[in-house]
Amino acid sequence: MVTTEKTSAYRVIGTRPIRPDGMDKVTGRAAYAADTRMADLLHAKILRSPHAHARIKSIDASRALALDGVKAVVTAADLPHIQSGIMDMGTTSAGTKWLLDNVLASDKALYHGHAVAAVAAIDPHLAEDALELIEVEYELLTPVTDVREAMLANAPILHPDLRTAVRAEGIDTPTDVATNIATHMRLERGDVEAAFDAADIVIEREFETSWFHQGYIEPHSATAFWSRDGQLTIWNSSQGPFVVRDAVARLLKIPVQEVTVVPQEIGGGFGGKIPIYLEPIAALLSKKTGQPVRLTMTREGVFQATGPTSATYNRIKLGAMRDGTIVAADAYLAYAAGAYPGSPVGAGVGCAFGPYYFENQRIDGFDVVTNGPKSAAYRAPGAPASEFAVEATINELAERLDMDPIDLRIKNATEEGKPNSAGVPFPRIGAKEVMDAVKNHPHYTSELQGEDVGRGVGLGFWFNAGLESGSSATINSDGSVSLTVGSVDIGGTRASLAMQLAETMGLEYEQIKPHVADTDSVPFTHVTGGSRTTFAGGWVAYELGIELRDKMRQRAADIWEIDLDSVEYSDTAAITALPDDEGTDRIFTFAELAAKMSSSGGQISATVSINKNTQGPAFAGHIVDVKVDRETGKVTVLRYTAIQDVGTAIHPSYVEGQIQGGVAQGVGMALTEEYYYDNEGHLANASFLDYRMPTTLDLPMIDTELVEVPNPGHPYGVRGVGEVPIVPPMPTLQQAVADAIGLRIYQMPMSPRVVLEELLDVGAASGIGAGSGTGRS
Amino acid sequence: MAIVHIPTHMRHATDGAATVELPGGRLGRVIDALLAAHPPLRDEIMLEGRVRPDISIAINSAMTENGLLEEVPDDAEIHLVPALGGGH
Repeated sequence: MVTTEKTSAYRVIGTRPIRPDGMDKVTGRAAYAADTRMADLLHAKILRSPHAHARIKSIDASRALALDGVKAVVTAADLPHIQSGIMDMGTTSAGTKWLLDNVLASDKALYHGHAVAAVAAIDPHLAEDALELIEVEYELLTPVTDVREAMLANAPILHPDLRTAVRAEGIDTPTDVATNIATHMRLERGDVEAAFDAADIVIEREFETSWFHQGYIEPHSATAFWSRDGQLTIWNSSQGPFVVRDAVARLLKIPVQEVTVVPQEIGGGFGGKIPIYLEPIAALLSKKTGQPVRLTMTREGVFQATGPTSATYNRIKLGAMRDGTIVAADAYLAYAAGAYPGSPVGAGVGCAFGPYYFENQRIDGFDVVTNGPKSAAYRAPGAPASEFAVEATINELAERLDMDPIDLRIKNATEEGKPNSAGVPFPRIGAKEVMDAVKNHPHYTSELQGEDVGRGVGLGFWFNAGLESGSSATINSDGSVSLTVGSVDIGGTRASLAMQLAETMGLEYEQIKPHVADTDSVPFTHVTGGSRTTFAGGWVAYELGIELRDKMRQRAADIWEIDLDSVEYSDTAAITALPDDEGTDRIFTFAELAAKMSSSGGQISATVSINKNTQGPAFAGHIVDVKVDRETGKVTVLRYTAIQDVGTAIHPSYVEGQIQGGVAQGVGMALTEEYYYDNEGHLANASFLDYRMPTTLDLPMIDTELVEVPNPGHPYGVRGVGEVPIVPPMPTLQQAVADAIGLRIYQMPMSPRVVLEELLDVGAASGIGAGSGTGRS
Repeated sequence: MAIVHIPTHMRHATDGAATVELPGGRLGRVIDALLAAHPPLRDEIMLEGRVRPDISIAINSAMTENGLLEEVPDDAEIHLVPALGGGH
């Protein structure tokens, strides 16, 4: 192991050690869910609906079951009947009935790729052959994939029983008619209309964003074995084994104690591996056959049937005085949830005006079902779309006011004590520090040169989550410490948690051996998501360290036959007391005392569970330079700088990596990624070849600047860092393109086709050559 | 008295009141008192005998960690915070 130079006031925190799982992952030795092997393993495949909206009239699997080597078929008829309930899914919650119907379609297939049936066979090819023998009779229905069309009164209805839940006062959304609008929510303060009337400048803009998939490299995979004694064990790829355990138990109506989930290494999740899709199916197939069953999605299945983030339509109206004070703000946010209610519009509402304090503001959010895959969490779920709309409008407002866009933001920035949109005052936050850092960054102050090049800026805000975590730690006789955690390691959390335990105990990082355990071996731990793991898991590590230190002091006191209060634990893990009556020093190194544990009362260990919600909200500011090719419409990112309040950077390399990863995904949203649906609601680009994500060849080195405003609600000042960096890229790039070619594009992504069409539209409208027009503000 | 701030979308259940004043004590008792004063709030806040998973409660700006066992000081400001997620 290599530990580089210390960069903070701490001894271990702020260094950059190698992650314990790094070598296995880069050499291909790490075991992922699809690597699961066991005797008598059966292979399963899923039959998916070829239609976006269809009633399932009948399913006949008799020919498939007659095929030699086919062991079982399951359909929705094999699932329990559940009508109500809400399940806590970690950073979000979901309706239980909807979750069950999404696993296997019951009366209706609601999107292209909706799972209809599954087959288990002795080999995967046979299972695929058997799918073709299952006869499903469909009655085709008209699909609706666009969120605004789905909101119309005459739209095709997905769920005849669905009625709008109104979470707002004084609005006229009907609540007694069949609709696709699942929820209308509103957050409001002040007198918005009067403030608009008093404003010197009012600007209103509309925006659209596509569906964006998380694009994790590893497809979903689950292996289940339902033993004859009734114990169900699942080996899978998931961000939260406990959430999977609880969801499977609830959906299959079995006790939690009968389910064990063994998390495997995970090849990316970004929120998309919080929901369950395969686990109940694999479990039922195993129950029917008495054999273990492995089910791995195809890439096509991942795109068609797992949750991207919502496509959205958003409208923003801002009113400002000439000095730049924004006195009124109004947001209308409509998010496509996909087939079942539960888009991230709530977070979109909460985050829309996040970096700012406006005295008069109103945010309306609509959760709308459409014939697409059920949306899932995706890195700051809901925030990129709403904040894109607000940030882009603020950039235009700055232009109208002839004001530096960062100065405008600083003038309206929120701060400690100001209420967020839900009315809760902010704790200590680094919003203004981030804005100052952007303004003073050499990138922002540098001169931009060249033809058709432009620069943009934008901010981002995300709540960050806390929630429950638990871990145990055991001191080994050689002076090392085994740390057992329940958090799946996605972004280097074995390292970041081990570092916080090492810091607390005065040990070296290399003395801590972290291990991710199954749901029977560690206390309940929520998902690795919401930027919570280093925060909440680190808090657990801190409390474990304090408890182990106290137990080591007690052990030394017992050996020396003195009071606990006389024993001290030093910053270098030495256990000391004043010399005895003969003047003999009383001192144990940590390793010396660890070696005496067995002969002085036994091993020392500790288990801690916490539910900490003093999460530190995160703010980010980005700067980008681009060049636009007027012939092709291609936008090339020339330079990118991401500045972020990260609280305390426990492992700066992994913090920087999180920021760079978030930026890369945000650039994909802004420039290339989108779902193509045809008129029948078929997804036309369900492959990495056609769903174009940025690669290293598309991006420059993404420079990062870490602003460290410690979170007072954490012993080491940790804030979540993984989500907020995906928020600013869309508005930042939109502004840069506008700066480069004088055209503001209000739909994401700004793919070459879209840019070219905009250039051609302006050229045609003005009667002059493409690209000579000005912004259409 | 502790002040419970009612989100706009729940004010239909409080006859439009934006705040409700209640004695401090355990959060569970404060919630009981709130529901006794405004029974229509029950559907907004509770599900299956516990606080809905899509509702968080902040006491003096800090999200609760001990659920309904949290102690509410007499001068506390309580916020009911709506879900991060969307509808159900």
